[in-house]
Amino acid sequence: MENNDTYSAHEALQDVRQAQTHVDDTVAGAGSPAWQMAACGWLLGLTTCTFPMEASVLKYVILLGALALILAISITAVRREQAAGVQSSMRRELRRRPGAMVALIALSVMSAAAMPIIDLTGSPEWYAVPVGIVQAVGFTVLALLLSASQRRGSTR
Amino acid sequence: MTARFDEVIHAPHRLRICAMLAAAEQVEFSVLREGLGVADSVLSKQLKVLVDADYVQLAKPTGQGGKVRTWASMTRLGRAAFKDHLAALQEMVAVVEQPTGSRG
Repeated sequence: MENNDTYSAHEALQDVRQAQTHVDDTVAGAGSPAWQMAACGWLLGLTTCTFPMEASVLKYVILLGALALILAISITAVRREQAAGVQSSMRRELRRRPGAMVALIALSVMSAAAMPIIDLTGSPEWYAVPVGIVQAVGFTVLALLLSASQRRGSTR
Repeated sequence: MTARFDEVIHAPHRLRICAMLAAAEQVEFSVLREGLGVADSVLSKQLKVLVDADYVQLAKPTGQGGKVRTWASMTRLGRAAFKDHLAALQEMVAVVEQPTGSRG
């Protein structure tokens, strides 16, 4: 039987902090999908920037390879969290860290803006901006969808 | 956010369960048990109280190898109640820590 009379507000708040630290440590140990996505977005942008080459099969391979890496790292992060027994939500993680949300969006926009889509598709130059925006939004939606599917998978 | 002391949440084990669940989307039964340092039966009993209050929901998906794992998550009502309860605790601590002279 728990004795609530001797359980002070101060003790209670300390317990809350300790319990939340325990969960935060477990989530951090497993790797947050949001941070993994942000890292991959930067990787994608860097790949695109450092290989400004003419449209070729190699170019498609590099870009698709970077996209595959993003998905692989994200799925790995979700599985590691499931194995660790604590599932963070990207939405919740981002809400708790507004800076991370801004960084993710900024990186997505930068990655998209740096991508020489025009060379790949042969589209006119004005097409680059809407494509960049669509990519930025798509990248963020992908991250949220992965997070949602993670939750759905565990409640089936 | 309104400060509201919640008797259901305030019991030490239940408070720690809520704190852990509030920090994540879902937490597995064994992680809660280790975090609390209690037996399965004790944790089940405390979770049942929270489930009955509609503060927590349990899911038992089949994991890899057909192993069933129990995942607990907080409901919207539970998160709101926990937030209000924390605010009430903080108010109590603030009152206690006020200098004697300022109490009138």
